[in-house]
Formats: sequence, C-alpha cells, structure tokens
Amino acid sequence: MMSMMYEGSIRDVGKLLSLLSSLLNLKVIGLRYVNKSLSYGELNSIDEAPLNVEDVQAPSSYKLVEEGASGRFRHSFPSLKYFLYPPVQDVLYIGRDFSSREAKVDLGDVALFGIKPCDLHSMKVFDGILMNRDPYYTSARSSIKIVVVEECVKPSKVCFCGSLGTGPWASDGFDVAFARLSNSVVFKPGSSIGSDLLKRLNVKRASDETMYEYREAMDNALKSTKALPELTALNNALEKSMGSGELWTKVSRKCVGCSNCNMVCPTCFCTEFFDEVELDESAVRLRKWHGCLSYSYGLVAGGHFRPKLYMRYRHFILHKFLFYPNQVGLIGCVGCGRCITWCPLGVDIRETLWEVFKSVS
Amino acid sequence: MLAKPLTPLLATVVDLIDEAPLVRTIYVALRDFPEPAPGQFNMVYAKGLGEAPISISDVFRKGDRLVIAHTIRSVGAVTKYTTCIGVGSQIGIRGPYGRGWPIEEAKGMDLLIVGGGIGLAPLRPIIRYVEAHRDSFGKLFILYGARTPHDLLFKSELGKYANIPNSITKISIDKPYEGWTGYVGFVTDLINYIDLDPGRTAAYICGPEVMMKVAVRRLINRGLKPDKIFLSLERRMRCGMGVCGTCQFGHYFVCKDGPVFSYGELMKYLWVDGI
Repeated sequence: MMSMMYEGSIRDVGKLLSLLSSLLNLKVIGLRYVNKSLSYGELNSIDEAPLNVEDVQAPSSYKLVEEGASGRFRHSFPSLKYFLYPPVQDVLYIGRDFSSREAKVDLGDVALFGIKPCDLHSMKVFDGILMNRDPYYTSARSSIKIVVVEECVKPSKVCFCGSLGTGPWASDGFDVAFARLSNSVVFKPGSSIGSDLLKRLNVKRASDETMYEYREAMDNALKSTKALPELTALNNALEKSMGSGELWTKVSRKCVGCSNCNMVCPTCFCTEFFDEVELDESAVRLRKWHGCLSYSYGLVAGGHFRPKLYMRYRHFILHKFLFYPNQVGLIGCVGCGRCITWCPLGVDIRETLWEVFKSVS
Repeated sequence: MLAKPLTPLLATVVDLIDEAPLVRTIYVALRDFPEPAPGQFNMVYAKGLGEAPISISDVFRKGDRLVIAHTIRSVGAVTKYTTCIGVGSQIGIRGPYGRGWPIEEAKGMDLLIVGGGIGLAPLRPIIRYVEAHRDSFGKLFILYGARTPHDLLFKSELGKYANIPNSITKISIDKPYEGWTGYVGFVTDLINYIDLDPGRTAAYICGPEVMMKVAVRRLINRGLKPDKIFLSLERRMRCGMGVCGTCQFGHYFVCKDGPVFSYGELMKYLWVDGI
C-alpha cells in the first residue's frame, strides 16, 4: 500500500484527467454527472465528474444530494460492466442467405477515471471468467490502457469492502489512485506510467501531516466497512448450509426474484441469447444480461433445474462466496453494496450471510 | 485466439431418422469441423429461433466431410423447428463443446453403460468406440430403458448390440405394454441383474437426473468407486464455452467442465435440490 505518495489539490485531479486525453490520446471514461443525471460516458473535463454530489445510500434507498453534500461520491447502479459487458450486445448478424458476420467491439484506447476500488476489483473477477474466452469482453477490456482510481475516504452505509479486502483503498491493478482529504488530495502511483503522469502534475511529496490524515481516513473507512463474519468461518458455514432448503427458504423470505441485484452487481455476468428477425429475413443475434434470481434461470424446455426461488437466491449467494473462488480464485463479491441499495425489498446480503453463519455455526 | 467462437457453421441435413415419438436424429455433413469425441455436444442453431445444446449420437467420415448425428427431442422452440425440416435443409452448428466420456482411461476394464430414454444418444459413441477397439476392453454391459417400446432409440441397432463379443444388453420399459416380453421396470433395476466386478468396472450413465441418482446409489452399493462412475448432465446452456453462466451446477460450468463428470466430482452437489 505504501509506495511514495504525493499531495496536491483538486485542480491536479482535473489536470490528470486532461493529461490522459491530451498527452496519451485516450478516451476518458467514467461516471458523468451532467444535467443532474449520472451515467457512464466520456468525461470531457473534471467538471463533468460527480465531485460535488453525494449519494445517500441505504437498503432499498438511493438519493443524490447536491446541497450540503460532503462531496463523497461512491457509486450508482451502473457498474463497470455497463461499459465492459453492456446490458445488450450484438453478437452476430445473419443474412437472409445465412451468411454471417460477427459483431465487433472497438472502443478505441480508453482511460478509466475515478472508478472505486470495489469496481476495480470486480474487473479482476470478470477477467477470470471472460478474458480470452469471450471475444467482446476481451476486446473491451483490452481497450483499457490506464486506470485512475478514487479511494473511498467515506464509504456509504451499504459498503462492506473492508470485509473482503477489495477496498476502501486500491492495492494493485491501477495506474494512479487518489483520495480527497479535507484540504488536499493525495496521489499514489500504481505503475510506472502512473509515476510518469504524477511527475507532470504540480504535486509534491505528501507531508507527514497529510499522510497521517490519509492513514487515519483509510483506517476509519476500513473499520466502517467491516461487516461480515470472518471469511474462512463464513465459507465453512455456507458450505454446511448448502443442503438446507429450510434455512435458505427462511433467509430468502423477503426476496421477490426481480433480479435487480443481478443487474447492478458488478460481477454478475450471466447472459441470455436472442434472435431478432428483420423483415428481410435476416437476423441479429443479441445477448442480454440474465440474472439467476429470475424465474427463467435454470428453466429448460423439458423442465426446471431451479424451480424454487430459494434455490436461485442461494445460487446468487453461494456463487459469490463459494463457487467463484473455485472458478477464478477470488471471492466474487466486492462489497460494493449495490444489491442492498437497489433491492426493492431492501434484502441485505450482509444480514443473509450473518443469518446463515449463525444458524449453521 | 477466439476466431469467431459464436458463429455457427452452415450445415446441410443429409439424413433424418425418426427414432421415437418426438425424437429425431438429424445427420449433417460438415467440412472443416473438428471431430467430436464421445460425449461432446454441439450447439444447433435455427435462424430466428436460437440455439440448443444437442448430444452427438454418431460421427463418421464420408468423403471429405464429417457426418455428425444429433439426436433431438422436440420440446422447445429450436428443437421443434428441427422436426419440420427435411433432407437438404440448412441449420447452423457450432462446437464440439465440453468434456466427453473418459474411455481411453478405462482400457482393460469392464464397461457398464446405463441409458434412460433419450440419454442413450450421447452414450452411443462409446458403444461404437468399444466395437472399434473391442480387444482393448473387458466385458461390455448395456442397460437401456425407456417409458414404452416406442420410446426406445436406435431400434434397428439395439438388437445388434447382443452380437458385440463379450457383451450383455438388457432393455427395460417402465410399464407393461402389449406385446412387450422383455423386462418391465426401471432401467436402474437392471443393475441388480448383472454380474459386476466392481473393482474393474467403469460406469457411464445418462438419462433423467433422478434416474442417474438412483443408478449412482445402486452402483456405489455394488462397490464401484466414485471416480469410476460417470454421468452426463443436462442444464440450460446458451454459449457452450463457459461465458453465459446459465449452465452452472455448483462451481462447475456444465458446458465446459462437463457435461460428463465423475460422481466423485459431483458428490458435493448431486444430492442438493436445485443447486
């Protein structure tokens, strides 16, 4: 965590953003807050970044406030997968004569700007499943040349990255990380390009006072995001709980199977393929996100492999904590808390995990 | 890497056999297609409708083309479409996908094949393989069951399995049926009627999941080792290469880690409803 750190001001963050496009010729992609709405897109200047707005999050509740905002923006429902693995994607164009052409993804050279450590981590999880296997993800992912992370000085009420080692600070896989403190911004290089970029900014070596403030802020953020049982014990409990339909029925009682959690989860990658037939008898083959909470997950023409809702809810939880480590060597939950915020019933994954943990251990 | 992994190859239907009510085998001829191993599957594409994972029930060469047999039960949109095509029709094929049956590893051993209903389709290539390499294996047991005599697959060849040297074939139907003089009961019951040497037998099972579970229980009781019992699983599948996620079974992607698994690999999950 402790490479050489620098301090500067919010203007240096703006300069960093400009350097990415002017010096490195990259398209800068991040969350934009323009006309009071948030979306992923090209950031033309630091004024478009959500720096003076705060997201107030709680189970089943999300509000953006400008007035009285602490300026501590964390995230909204679109995670990086909106950009890397969009909700709807053309896969194939099939002509009337059955000639076919695969869709191409060409995003140019991209810098990701201001993403959070949890979302940065979600990219590693996605890489494990999709990189060099899915052509569209591979292409989108390869377009990312630079990653600038904003570390979380003040996590929200639904954040629990501290339990999972996925935040509140970034440890690897980025070029520059910055954290906004009370009167200054600290910068941390994560690669040699990152170091070069920082040398071009008007930043100086961080003072002891600044470093103290930074460490204290990170320490507090870490404490406030520790919300899960110890992971090995949790893992054992989940393993033991697997066959208990009764327990999983109980913990999934509030769930209505809407699949919102799947859609906002930065590591949910399931998709469904469709054909859209045009009037001239050609067809476009598309894929769309598909969530394990929706009824059709596991449904086949001759039957259903997960007919009950508890089975699908259990898959959502076990996949993140038990199956992902087998599949990609990482826990699949990054602790961003989106599934808690965007669940219409306020189902809280932290409570589910505690409930299973307490019932089984 | 990744040369057009999702593009189906255009294939011409060269033969069709109506095997049973709602079940048809469609033979397509393809050039430049990798030769499928026993137990692998293809994604069959019907334009405008989509794709379905289909077991490969036979493979042979004809001139410079590879003829692949897909045995299909018409239950969904794509599979119903395949019942209304004829010789000369064109469908899309991509594959072959998945990990098939481990046969090479069973050389020198006795083989037990247990098929239920349409589950015989992916098992047939094993029978073909054993016929072609008869000296490499010990005894061959073929146990096959269907609901009625009409539902039996590959009717013209079932009777010939008895001619394979050193083999025993037993066939059952679920309920009494007029004119049926063979065994009546579940195919898994037939396991009790064969003389297995558990230490030197590898079992290959495919059929409805509930039937496979019963078969596994019986074989474990007979003393077979979990890593010598193999099952082919069915799941919802959309991509065939482990990216769409819909075929997950525990931590496995059935499409790429399977569809064939040893019982040892599945032990943790097989008895958990809806995992």
